[in-house]
Amino acid sequence: MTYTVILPTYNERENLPLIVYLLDKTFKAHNISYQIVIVDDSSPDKTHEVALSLKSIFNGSNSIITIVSRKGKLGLGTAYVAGLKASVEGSRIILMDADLSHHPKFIPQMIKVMDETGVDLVSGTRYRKGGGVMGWDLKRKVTSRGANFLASFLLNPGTASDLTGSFRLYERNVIEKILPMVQSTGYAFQMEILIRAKKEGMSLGEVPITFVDRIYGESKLGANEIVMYLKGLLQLFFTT
Amino acid sequence: QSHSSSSFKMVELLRYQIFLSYGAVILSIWYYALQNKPALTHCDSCCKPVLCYFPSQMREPIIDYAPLWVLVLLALYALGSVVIGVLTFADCPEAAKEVESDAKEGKAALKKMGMKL
Repeated sequence: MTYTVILPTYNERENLPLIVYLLDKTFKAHNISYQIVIVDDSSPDKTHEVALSLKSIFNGSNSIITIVSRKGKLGLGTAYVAGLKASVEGSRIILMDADLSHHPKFIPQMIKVMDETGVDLVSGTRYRKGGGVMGWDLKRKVTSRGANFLASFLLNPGTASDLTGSFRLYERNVIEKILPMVQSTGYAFQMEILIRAKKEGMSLGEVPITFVDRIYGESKLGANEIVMYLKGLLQLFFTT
Repeated sequence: QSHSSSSFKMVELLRYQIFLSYGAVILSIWYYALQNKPALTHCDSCCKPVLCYFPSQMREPIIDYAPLWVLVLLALYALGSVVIGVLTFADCPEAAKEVESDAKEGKAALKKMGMKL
């Protein structure tokens, strides 16, 4: 079984080599054949060049580095679709952030859960015991818990404890079936995948993960993001 | 066209439809209670309705403003949930340190492999 990690990148010149290095290290340590698909939206900081160097270093018999270059900043959903198209046939799909907020060490744990329990997808959760977040102040924590409560109350996602998390392992058929259905953007995008998967009768497993928020000083959660989230939430409330 | 005669497809309600259904049920119960206030608030007979556990002055207002109390309870539940969630929120300083050391290790290893950083 090959595992394809789809990494959408925008200005990740610094983090991309490190995440690829850690992914390679983790997969090799567990004897897993892997593919990394880097989907770059024409990053102005020449992330593409970095991706090419990484390809020459890490491409091997059990490791494939694929680069998909897109003409501009086209959004996460379409980046995943493009990554999926470029993925090796029959592989399981891992979606995660490319900025080192997600640590590859959790991937073998997710694989274990999927193999042992036969679930269709495994979600990395920050909210169960063993998980956590580094770098969030009180305001951010309150917002996060509030948003999760609201989403759970309105959408009833079942056992899923982290609706907006973006570190997940999918059986191929799950992502192939669900991704075309998804219409939201931003945080609601990740929610919609889980909700639709549940509606299709797919089973979910969870692995506690630690999330290291490395956006120094930059506020990732402005009023605009909150409005978009609520819009996405309401859209799901009325359409699922 | 062939039909599977023995199976029947359950109509799946959308989330907002489920909420509307619950709302309709709550409003119907409230309407019934408003129409039957005397029966529900009189506590001299042998079979006492639930409201008799409350002091007599409170019984009528509870019925009159029932949906409000539902919302208040809901708000308290939401608030409690968020407060507990924030208090039990796990910070993970070790994870941050781990990323820093992994980053150092990665930079050194990549330099060795000929990567220009």
